[in-house]
Amino acid sequence: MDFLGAFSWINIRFLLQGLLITVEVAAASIVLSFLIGGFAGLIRFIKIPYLSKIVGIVIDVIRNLPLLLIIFFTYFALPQIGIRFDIFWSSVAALTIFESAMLSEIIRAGLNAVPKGQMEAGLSTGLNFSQTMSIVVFPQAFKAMVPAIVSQFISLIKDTSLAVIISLPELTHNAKIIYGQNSNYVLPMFIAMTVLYFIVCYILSLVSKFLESRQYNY
Amino acid sequence: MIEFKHVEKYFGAFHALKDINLTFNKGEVVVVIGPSGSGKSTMLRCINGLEEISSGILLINDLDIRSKETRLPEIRKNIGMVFQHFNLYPHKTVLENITLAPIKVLKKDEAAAIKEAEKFLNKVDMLDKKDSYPSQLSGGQKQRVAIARGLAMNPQMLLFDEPTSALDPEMIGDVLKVMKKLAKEGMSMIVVTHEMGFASEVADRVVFMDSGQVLEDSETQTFFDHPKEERARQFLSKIINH
Ligand SMILES: Nc1ncnc2c1ncn2[C@@H]1O[C@H](COP(=O)(O)OP(=O)(O)O)[C@@H](O)[C@H]1O
Ligand SMILES: [Mg+2]
Repeated sequence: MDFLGAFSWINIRFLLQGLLITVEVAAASIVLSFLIGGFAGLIRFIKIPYLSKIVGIVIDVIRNLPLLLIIFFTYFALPQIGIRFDIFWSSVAALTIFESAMLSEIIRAGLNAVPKGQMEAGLSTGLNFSQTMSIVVFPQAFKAMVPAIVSQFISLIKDTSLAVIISLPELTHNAKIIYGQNSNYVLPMFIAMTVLYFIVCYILSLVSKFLESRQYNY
Repeated sequence: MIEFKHVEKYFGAFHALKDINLTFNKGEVVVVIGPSGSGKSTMLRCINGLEEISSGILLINDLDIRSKETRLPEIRKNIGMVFQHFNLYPHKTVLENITLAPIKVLKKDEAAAIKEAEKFLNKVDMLDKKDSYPSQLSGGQKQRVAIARGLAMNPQMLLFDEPTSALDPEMIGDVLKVMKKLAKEGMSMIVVTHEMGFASEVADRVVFMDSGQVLEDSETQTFFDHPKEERARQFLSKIINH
């Protein structure tokens, strides 16, 4: 059997191209879902009449859908109503929708976990609402949220592999093509994917540890 | 400088403040007492807009707190508040806790704010802890820092909501000492407390609340010697005898 042939220069390059797409899709989704999820979490936290309720319902619906369904939705259903993305951005859109919903809940829970007295103390010294949120409440909430946010981002990286279903040329997809050509390559490709996903996710968990340790030692 | 006129406050269907009429003047020290749940905190929190009044008029320096033109941050920067549970910012040092609002609200430059903060820390006898985090302080120390934080805005008035209720008995004295010093220097103060020694020593007036009403509002001496209200008498004998 020809295991080593699996790691020809061409195959490795092909895998790494897949990894690059995985990382790009994940990075774009992380940035977008952090912004959207943060905003949605904030809206739910400050309880704006009606709006917060509506946002809450939308989030609950999204959180209870399989991600695969959302990927189908952005790739197959949205074009039917005239919204057309290519495969890359369809994947980003689907992941962003899903991860925003997850993140907004983490962020809302983190904000809620900060004692109410903190907000009151900030306001009663004359700080306005946004100053109090950004200087007093958010840094405390963030410290509690970092581990949950990072583990959410790690699942996001792994979830990019679901976009294989719409043929996004990411890591899993490319590995599949390689072992599709030669069944001897199945095992090597699984080993390669394991190693590559592990490296990316592990780097992210190191970032988390760094952020946690860098937080004020109070 | 602060005037409640027929103020009502509801939490949903619950009637928390009933026809409150009170005046707090510049330079006055007023102690507010009453059973738990009688509306003392709510009354105090209406003054700096942490609670919204339901009806009636509340004037702060002749400004109607409910009028559209009134900006709450403007009112709040002139009125400090000290909470039962201190509410220091745990992620900031003692010094940062105190300089935050002067820098952000009064736009002081950092060096000037620090200098001022050190002055107030010295006043509450906490200067040596200026670089500590709140978690490294005892309750009594935290409360003295919280008082310094209030003072740093150079407010016209300080509100205290049971500032010693969460403290171990041996720490109460240090906090009361600071508060007495402020009172004697002429700071306007409204103090919700069960410390009757403090009340009789420095209060100009005592307000007694029960079930959302002000039942008595008398000069301190009069209140302790001849409480008009039976319920005030009962309350006094309960807290003084235990
Ligand atoms: N945010 C709130 N929502 C509903 N009820 C409240 C709220 N705050 C206070 N209350 C009620 O109002 C009453 C007065 O409370 P409070 O002013 O805290 O009393 P005190 O400070 O005299 O103990 C209590 O019965 C309390 O349960
Ligand atoms: Mg109270």
